[in-house]
Amino acid sequence: MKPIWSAKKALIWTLLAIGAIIMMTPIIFMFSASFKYNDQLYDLALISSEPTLSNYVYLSQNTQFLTWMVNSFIVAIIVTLSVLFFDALIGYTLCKFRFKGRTVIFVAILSTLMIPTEMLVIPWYIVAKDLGILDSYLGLIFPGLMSGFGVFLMKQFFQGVPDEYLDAARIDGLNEFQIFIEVALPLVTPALSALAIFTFLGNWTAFLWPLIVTSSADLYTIPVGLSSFSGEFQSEWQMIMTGAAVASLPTIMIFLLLQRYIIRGVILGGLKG
Amino acid sequence: MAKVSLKNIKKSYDDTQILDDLNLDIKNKEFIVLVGPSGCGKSTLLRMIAGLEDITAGDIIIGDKIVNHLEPKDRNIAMVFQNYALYPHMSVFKNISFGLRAAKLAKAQIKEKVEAAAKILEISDLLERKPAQLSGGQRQRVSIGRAMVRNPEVFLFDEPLSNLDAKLRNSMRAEIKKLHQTLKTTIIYVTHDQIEAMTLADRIVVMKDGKIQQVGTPLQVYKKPANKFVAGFIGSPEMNFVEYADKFLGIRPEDIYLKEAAPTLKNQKSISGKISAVETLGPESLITITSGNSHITAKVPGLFKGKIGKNIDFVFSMTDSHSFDKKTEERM
Repeated sequence: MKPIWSAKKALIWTLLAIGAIIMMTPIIFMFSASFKYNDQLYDLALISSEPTLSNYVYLSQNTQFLTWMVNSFIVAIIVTLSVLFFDALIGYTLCKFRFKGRTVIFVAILSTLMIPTEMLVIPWYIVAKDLGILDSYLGLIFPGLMSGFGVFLMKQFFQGVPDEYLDAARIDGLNEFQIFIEVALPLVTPALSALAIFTFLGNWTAFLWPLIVTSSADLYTIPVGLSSFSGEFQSEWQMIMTGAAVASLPTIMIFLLLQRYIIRGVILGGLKG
Repeated sequence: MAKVSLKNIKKSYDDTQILDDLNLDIKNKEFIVLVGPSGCGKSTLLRMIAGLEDITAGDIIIGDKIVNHLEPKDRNIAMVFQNYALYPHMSVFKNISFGLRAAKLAKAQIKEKVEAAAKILEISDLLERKPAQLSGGQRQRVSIGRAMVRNPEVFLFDEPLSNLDAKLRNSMRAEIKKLHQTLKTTIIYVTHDQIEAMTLADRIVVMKDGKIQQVGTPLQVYKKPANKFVAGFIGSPEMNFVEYADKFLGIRPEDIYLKEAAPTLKNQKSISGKISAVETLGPESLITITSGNSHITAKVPGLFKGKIGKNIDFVFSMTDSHSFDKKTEERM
């Protein structure tokens, strides 16, 4: 019989534990700081001697935090839905149909992954200005409606879907769009969940573009709103920490809800076993 | 119920010719088996009849209609795939009824059709299960059920038994035969397994390199193979070929006897050689001898006790042998 604890296992677990501590510390510190008064902030005690909810009360009553949260939700959800639909559709088309220029289109889409956001914000700004959508929801949303990464991810996953499923559905009399919705999409739910998580988190925490495109506080998203607590001469760290703590809750919940779908199990069930 | 005609069918991808000027008439209610080695174009042909693959030239006629440009759903066909292609996220009931729901049939009617098909296929108690919870044989039944409820004029089977184990394959083969007798539809069945071809077919179509080599009843193809390829492909173990004057002489292993145990044969010839292999199958044995450059295999009844390396005499009747032209390899 093998021993339960081998040296290799001990090493792996130690490394994982160190990694976990490094990752968790800032998050724990953030939650801890949100229950402290400003003058206790640099006291490193995990639990303050006089814990307080005053930061939370101030955040909800004296700032537009709730509006920012709603804005963040609106932007992240619309962008996520749009990315799921369009990226899956494009990935499916590039994967399952043969047409002239297919490779060129795919490479062109892939190449957008190499351009950093910092380089894109100026063209985006010009487009938004010309379209008259600066400082609006549409302006916040439009750059994210489709993503090269999502197209790539979905195309790769659709490669694992055997063509026989699609052929069977064609014979069953479905049109190509119905086949995509009713047969192909359910077979790639693990990929859709992963893409949904990435996209939602990416937009929930997006800072640069929302900062540039919005000018009225009514349209701020959470990161932009939180940055307004940071002034030229001093930063209200306890408020930033409290806001960030609240903002992190939905992301934690979404991950817990969706993580079980990131299992690539269902897809082979209907084929030879 | 419909006949199917293929007229001057051609298929090529870029410069590669897959099917070359193919003609075939399939009668109403006929069970046709397309057989040939992999890459001979038989599956491509089936997919073209289904409408899943474009044709480069020619006409496909189902019933009285040219269907070249019709969608698969409008061709009155149903297809059973090698890997079943059951949708893993749907129950057996939903899998079978998928096409009917797409055609917007009334719920009661769908239920009736699915239950009738399930009864014939003996899967009535599996309707609520997911494909992953079924055995290979059950999955194949479900995929046949999905084809049945469409009431097609033509059933297309693409190597439906290839993924099953030998025992299950035998019983499913018998069931498909029975199904054909019950449903009385035209069936076009693709396989690379000559036993399936021989046992199921009304007529066999032997294909090689995108061309039809021979069309005939199983017995015709076995007794009078049109060329050396068909002769070698149909029959197990394979036919023996010996170069003889300006032709190939073909003798089936089952037509060769041990000299001492031979019945009286018309026009008898004998070959002698050293035993190079003995395979015992139980009811019969396969004995291979080496004579000059050629290896000759005989299928003899019972257990054979001769030692490898020993000299032995085989006899056969010239009347049972087949002659093929050395150049064209056509039957003479």
